Amino acid sequence: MGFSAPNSAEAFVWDARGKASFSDEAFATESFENVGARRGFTVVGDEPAIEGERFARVRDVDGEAYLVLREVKDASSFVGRLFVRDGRPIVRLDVRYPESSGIARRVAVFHPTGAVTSDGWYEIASAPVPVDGRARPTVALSIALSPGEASADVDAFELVPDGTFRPVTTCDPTLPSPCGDDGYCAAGVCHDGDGGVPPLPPEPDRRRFVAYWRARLDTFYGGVASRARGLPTALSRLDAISDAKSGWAFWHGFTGALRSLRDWHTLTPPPFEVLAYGPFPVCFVEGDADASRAIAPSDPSLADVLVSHTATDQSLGFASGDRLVAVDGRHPIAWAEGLDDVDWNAWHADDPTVHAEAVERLGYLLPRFAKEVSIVHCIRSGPTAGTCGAVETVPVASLRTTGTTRGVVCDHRPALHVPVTSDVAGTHAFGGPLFGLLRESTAAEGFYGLVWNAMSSEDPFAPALATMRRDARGVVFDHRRGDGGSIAAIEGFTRAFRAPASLGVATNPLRTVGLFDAPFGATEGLAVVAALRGTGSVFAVGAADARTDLRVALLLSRAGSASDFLAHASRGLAHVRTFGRRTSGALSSYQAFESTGGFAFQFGSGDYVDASGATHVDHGVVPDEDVLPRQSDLLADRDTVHERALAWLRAGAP
Amino acid sequence: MRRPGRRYVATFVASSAAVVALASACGETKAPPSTFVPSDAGVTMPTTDASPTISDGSVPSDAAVIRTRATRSPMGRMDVPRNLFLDGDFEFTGASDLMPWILVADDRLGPLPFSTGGACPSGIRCGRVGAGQELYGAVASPKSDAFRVSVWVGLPDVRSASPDAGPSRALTCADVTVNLVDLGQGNGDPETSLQAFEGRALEGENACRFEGLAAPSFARFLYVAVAAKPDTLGPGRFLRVDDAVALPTTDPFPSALGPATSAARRVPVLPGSREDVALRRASALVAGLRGNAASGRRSPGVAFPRSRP
Repeated sequence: MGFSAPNSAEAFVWDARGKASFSDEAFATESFENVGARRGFTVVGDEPAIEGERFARVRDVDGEAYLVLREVKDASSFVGRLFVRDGRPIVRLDVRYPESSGIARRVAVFHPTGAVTSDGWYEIASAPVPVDGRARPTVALSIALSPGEASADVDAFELVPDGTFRPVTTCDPTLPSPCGDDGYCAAGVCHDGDGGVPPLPPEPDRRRFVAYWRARLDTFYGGVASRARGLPTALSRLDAISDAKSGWAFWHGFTGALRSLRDWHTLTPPPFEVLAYGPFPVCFVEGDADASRAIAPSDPSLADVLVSHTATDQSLGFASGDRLVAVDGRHPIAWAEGLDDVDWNAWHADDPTVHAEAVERLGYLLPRFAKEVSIVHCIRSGPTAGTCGAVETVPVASLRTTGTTRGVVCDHRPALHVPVTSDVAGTHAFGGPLFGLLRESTAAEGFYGLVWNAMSSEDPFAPALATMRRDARGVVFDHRRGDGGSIAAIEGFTRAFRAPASLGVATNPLRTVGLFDAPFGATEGLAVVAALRGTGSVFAVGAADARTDLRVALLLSRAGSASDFLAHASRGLAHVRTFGRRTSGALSSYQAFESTGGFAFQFGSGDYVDASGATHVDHGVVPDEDVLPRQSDLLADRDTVHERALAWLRAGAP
Repeated sequence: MRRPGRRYVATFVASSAAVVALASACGETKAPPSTFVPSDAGVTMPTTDASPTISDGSVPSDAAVIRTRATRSPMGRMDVPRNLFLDGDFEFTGASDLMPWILVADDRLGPLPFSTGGACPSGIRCGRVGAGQELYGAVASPKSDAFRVSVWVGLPDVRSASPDAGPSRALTCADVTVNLVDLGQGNGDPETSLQAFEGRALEGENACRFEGLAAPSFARFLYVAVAAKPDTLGPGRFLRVDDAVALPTTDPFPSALGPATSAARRVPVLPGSREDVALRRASALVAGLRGNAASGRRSPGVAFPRSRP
C-alpha cells in the first residue's frame, strides 16, 4: 500500500495573480477568514493571503490549536493540505472515535510537498488517513508549534477524498513483520506507518539523501570506540533504504539505521503517538532475585528484573519485590533490547555491558509491544512474608488500569531518603534537586542526602551545597537516575568536594574529519589532549577550598553523558565512594536535528580523552562497589544500595 | 476557471518574462510538469521577505501578480553529500537545542527564527539573524587540508522594515561578517584568530555569497558565524542565511557557487575586543548545552503529552 507524496500539482486551483481557490473535490475547507475567536489563532488581513482575504497566525498556543471539521458519515479516506509560512508547525489530521466503538485513534502528520511561493509560503499535506464515519468519529485539524518557535502562519486548508478506506486490523507482536512492510503493531493493532512519517522521497532525492546522511554520520558521529562498533552496521542499513517502496519503509529504515548505532545520545523519538493498552505505572530495576531463584533460575549474563516501586493509586497487581521473569518467553532485558526494529524510542548505553536503560523503559514497552509477561508475585507481610509464588504468565492486554492514574517516574530508586512531600514520595516526580538530612540520620550525626536526575546548571544546587559545606559530616548523592546535564555544571559541582585537577579533554561534538578513525591509540589521543590544552574543552574539576574531609557516597544505577563525567570525576578519591551499577559510557556531546511534522532525531558526537590519551566513550565508569537491589530487601521495604552507602559513611565517621 | 472533474493549474516560474508568458496559460491549459521549476536547480526567486512584489521590485496593483510558485526539494540541497556543514541549508535545523545552526541573541541561545518557501534559495527553510545577533553554523574541518567555504546571505529589502523601524538604508555585502570560529577556545588567548570570508554581491539578487579557503583546524569546535555589523540593521530587519557549502579543496566544488577564491583573512581576536566578547559569550552558552541529555530526549510535539518512554 505504498504511499506516494500528494501531488502538489493537483492541489488547489491558482489564478494568474497567484491566488488559490479550493479544489472542487474538497470535502471540507477552512479559509481562516473568521477563525480569530478560536484559541491560538489570530486573523491577519493586512498581508496577501493564499486563499481568500485573510490568513491565520498561530501563536500563544498552549499545546495545540484545534479545529473540528465537518462530520464524516461514510467509510472514507482523506488527504489534508495546508499552506504555512515562517515556521514549521506540527500539523495533524486527528481522527478520534468514541471509546465505545473500540476503534483506535488514527493520526496523519503533514509534511511539505515541495510547492513554495515567492512570498514565503509552502504547502504541506498528509498521507491518506482512513475514516470510518459509521462509528461517528471526530475529525479535527490539530496545529502545534515546533519546539522554540513563537508563531507560524497558516492558510487554505482543504480535506480531499484520496485513497481507499482500510479498517483497523489486529496483530500478534510475536510474529515477524506482523503488519507487513508499511505498518507497525502496537497494543495488538496494526497502525499505518505512512501516516506518521514524511512521504517517500522521489528519485533522485532518495539516493542523494542516503549519500548525504551517510556523510553526516561518517563525518560527525561518535567517539573512537562507538564508531568502530556501530558505524559499519548503521551505514550498511542506511544504504538499504535506497530501495524502499513506501514512506514508512524509508523513514523507519533511516531511523532504524540510527538506532543500530546503540549509542546513549542517539535518539529517534517517533513523530507519531504509539498507542498502548493503557498506562503501566510500574517501575523495574536490575536486581538480585535471591528470594525466588529456586522458583525461576537467573540468567547467567543478565541481571534479574524486579519491581522497584509502583504508582500509589494503581499498580496492576504488582508490588515492590515482585519479579518479571520473562516477556514473550525471553529475559525482559533481551526482549526490550531486541525491539530496535519496532521501537523508535529505543535507547541503549554505549557500554554494551550496561542494560539499565532497557529496564527503566519496561513500563513504556510492555503495554505497547508485548503479548505476555511471566511474573513471580511475592508475599510482603504476614507469617509468609518474603516468600514467592509460582511463575504466572498473563496476557499484557489484561493488565489495564481503571480510570486515570497519577503515574510514577521510574528512577531506579525504591525509595527517597530525604524529606519530601507525600506526592513526591508517591510519584518520584520532582524537578530540582531534593536535599536534606537523611531520614535515617540525625543532626548530630550529620549525614545528608542530595537527590537529582539532571544538572544543567549549578544554580539550583547552591543552597544544598552551602548547607553541605557548613553542616554535613557525610553525604549520599543519590544519582541513580542520571540524565546528564552540562559538563560545565558538573565541573562546578565537584568544587564542593574534591581537590582540583585537570582530568582530560572533551572534544565537544566531532568537528574534524577522520579524527577518530582507526588507528587511534594513545599517540593520537595525546595529540588531541595537546591540541586542546588551555582551552575551554579541558575537564577541570575540583577546587582548592573543597571539603575533602567530607565523606561522599555516590549512588549510580543509570547514568549517562554529564552523569558519566561526574562518576569519572569521583574515582580514585579516598573520601568518595561509588555504589551501584556501571555507567553508560556516553562521555560525549551530541548533535540534534529537526525535520518537518515534529520529526526530530539526534546522534552522539565527540569523545573524552584522558591525560593518558585513552578515550572513554563506550567504557562506562565501574563503581567502587557493584551493588544490586536484593529481592528480599525490596520485599521488606529496604533499599539495598542506599543502606550499603550509609553503612560506609558510618564506618568512616570519626 | 474551474471545471468539474478536471484540474487546471496555472503554473508560475520566477522570472518576469515567464510570468508574462504564463499569464495566457491561466485556466484552460493543464500545466505540464516541465513548466515547474525543478528542485533546487538554481532557482532565482524574488528575494524580498514576504513582500508582495513582482520580480522587478515594483508594488503590484490588484490585478498584478501577488506571488509566483515553484517546487523545491523539502530536503534541500543534497547534491553535495560531502558538505562539511552539518546542515548547510537549514532543512534539518530546529529552533532550539544543540542544532546544526544556533542563534546567540540577547546573551542567550535562540530561539532561531526562520524564513520559508521561496524566500530561501535552497529547500524550503533558511535562517534569520537580526541586529545584535550572531548565527553559528556547525562545520567540520579536514584534519590537515584546507577547505573551501561558501555561504549565501540575503540582505533585507528596505521595505521589509516594520513601520516603526525608522529610516533604513540598503545594506551591502560589506555590512555583513562571515567568520570561521572555534567555540571551544574561550580562553582569550591573544594568539587566537578567526578566519574572515569575503562577500561578493550576487547579480540580480539582493544577496551576497561569502567565500574563501579556510586553513584546517585540528580538534576544534568549529562554527561559521554570520552577523550584521553594528548599526546596520534596524528593528524588524534581518539577514537570511542559506545554502552553505564547505568542501575539502580535494573535492570538486559546485560550479554554480562561483569561481575559486583566495584564502580567508586571518583576524586576531584581541582580549576584550568585540569578537572576543562574542566568542566568549557563545562558548559559554554552548557549553551549557554540551552533554545535556535531559533536553536531548525531545518530545515529538505538544499535541501528544506522554510519559517518558
